[in-house]
Amino acid sequence: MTLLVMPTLSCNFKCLYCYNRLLGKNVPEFTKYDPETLAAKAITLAKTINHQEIVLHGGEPLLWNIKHLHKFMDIISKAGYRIAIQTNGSLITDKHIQLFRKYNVSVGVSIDGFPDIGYARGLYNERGEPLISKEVNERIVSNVLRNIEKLVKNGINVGVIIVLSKYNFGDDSKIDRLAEFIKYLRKIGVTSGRLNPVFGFGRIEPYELSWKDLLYGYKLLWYKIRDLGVSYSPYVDISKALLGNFRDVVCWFHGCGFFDSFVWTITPYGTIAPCDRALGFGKIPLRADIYNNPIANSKIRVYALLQTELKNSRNGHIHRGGCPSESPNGDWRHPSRFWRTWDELIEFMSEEIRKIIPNIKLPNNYPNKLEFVEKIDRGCAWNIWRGGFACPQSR
Amino acid sequence: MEHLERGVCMPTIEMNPFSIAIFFDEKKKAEITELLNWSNAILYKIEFQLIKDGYRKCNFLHIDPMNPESMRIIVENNFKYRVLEQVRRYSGFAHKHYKPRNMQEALLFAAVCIDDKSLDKFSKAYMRGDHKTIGLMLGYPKCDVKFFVKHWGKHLDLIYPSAMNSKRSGDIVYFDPRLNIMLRYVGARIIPHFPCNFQCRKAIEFAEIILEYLRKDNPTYTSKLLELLSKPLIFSQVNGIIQSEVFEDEAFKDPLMVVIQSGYSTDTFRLKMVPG
Repeated sequence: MTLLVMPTLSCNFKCLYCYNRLLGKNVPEFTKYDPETLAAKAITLAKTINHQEIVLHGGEPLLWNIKHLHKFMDIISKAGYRIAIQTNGSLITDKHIQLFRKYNVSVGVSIDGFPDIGYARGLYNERGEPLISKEVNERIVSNVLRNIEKLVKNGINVGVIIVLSKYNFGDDSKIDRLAEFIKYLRKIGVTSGRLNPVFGFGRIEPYELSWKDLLYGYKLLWYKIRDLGVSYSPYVDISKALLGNFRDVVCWFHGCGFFDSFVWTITPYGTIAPCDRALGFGKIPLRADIYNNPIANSKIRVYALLQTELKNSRNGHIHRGGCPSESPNGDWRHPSRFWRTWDELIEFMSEEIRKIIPNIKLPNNYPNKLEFVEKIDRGCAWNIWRGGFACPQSR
Repeated sequence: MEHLERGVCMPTIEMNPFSIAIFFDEKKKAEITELLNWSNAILYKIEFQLIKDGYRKCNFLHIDPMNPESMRIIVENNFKYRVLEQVRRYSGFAHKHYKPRNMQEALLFAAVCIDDKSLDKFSKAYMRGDHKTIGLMLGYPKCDVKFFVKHWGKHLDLIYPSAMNSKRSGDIVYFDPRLNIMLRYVGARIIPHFPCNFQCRKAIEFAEIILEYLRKDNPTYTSKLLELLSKPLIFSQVNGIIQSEVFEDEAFKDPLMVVIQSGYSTDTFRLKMVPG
């Protein structure tokens, strides 16, 4: 589970691929709640879903008044919850750094590489035309990099989200440059992150990678970074799943529906919505109560897909169709447009693991995929030495 | 249902039955939920009132063996009933019955009729999958029964063939709000059956009978229900999941609610539907 709190949907960036921009005009820019009320809402929800970490998200959460941030973090921290924040990193000041240190905040910074390849992030108009020169954009990215260094020097736990597009992953030279970037991050102390593929919303579509290009890039990058001692999604998540730990893998592989996602979000309205990626509906949907319904539970999309479009997939039982917001035509009932990438990458990572542990029994290519999903969701554990399930005794 | 298991109407996807409504606004969610609670409760009563008042001979009923209250409607009206099969409990509306795995999840699916003769005829028709007899005894118009018999088995949800028989212009399908059964999964409907087309005169006559009962019970809610049923919608099925997206206006830009329902079939379609 992930619990996001969005104090604002505003942002000082207007990235090419942002999905928040698809929201209609009547969305409040900032939360109507004071930090005390918002924190209370977050704590109540965290208790309800039995979750220990609250993530400040946006829009850009650092646009929220620092006094409000302070108050919010103080309440959350005193209640015993961990705090994380996801930011574009451009607005970080020394005061923020003090705040993050005080409350032991994990900071996720969104950055797409060195300035020469990381410019899909920045300021663009509705037609996808840059609103600032490339030089200015590069200065902004450089500033974010300096802020990351500052955070790390101050002992703050930093991870990165890198959005992959043709800008930074489109050919071998760009993949080389991205590998250099990850090495640089390793050098300054950032060892973990996510490599998320961009998915098309109009203006970014020309820069979206095909499933084959994405697969090629992931494989090539793997060889370049595997010995660095870094932990990047999707490699780390696929490895976890193959080794039987399905609980801690990235949300993409949890088989979310669109309205009943692995992620819970408190919006600026104060309403509880599904994942922030579902905001592209044009309005913010209220979360479906599917998790609390024993009959109509969260497996709707997975069960449907494993009998239809993923019927002949090799590893649909592991990736479960991927993120529904990436589905073609914006229809969550299809698998992610990248499901073939995940299918093949799971095979690739299986081989990589077998090179290290030859006799291991991995669950890729499991014949009865519906049975596999049902057993995992029932709490059965995959035994990598025997190659079968150990299930809790039913009463 | 038995005829499904015998393969007359073969579902291609196995799924737990489910239906759920998703909203975008707390206030509208509260308003519509209140309306649906009312319509679900009153339409259930009307289904049996139609037997008492001679509009139909029989109806189906789910009896909860753990809850004798579920038999009240039979006892109070001195109806005759016969259990047809045990089925698994489900929420909302479902096209398909599953066998229960234990007593706790079992419901009894029963035929309820005005007299013994009708009960016998109705039960036998059910057991042999005779939709013509069933439909006529439920009081549905002949044209709609004929339509059902023709299409049931090829499609598990007959909205698509019904739409193809309806008034259309370009990619728009027109429907009479009284015949809007696209939201029946969550209880927003007037008629309980598939009309042969969404302007079917006989189905509208049947809808008017039900509307009379509804207005007698609560004219304000009846107007609100008709208002909801008059909203434009996009009705689609993909990978065995049916989705009705209801919009505020014909621009199809401002969603009011989304209803999701298990569909069991790999039929894929998308219909833009507006009242008319």
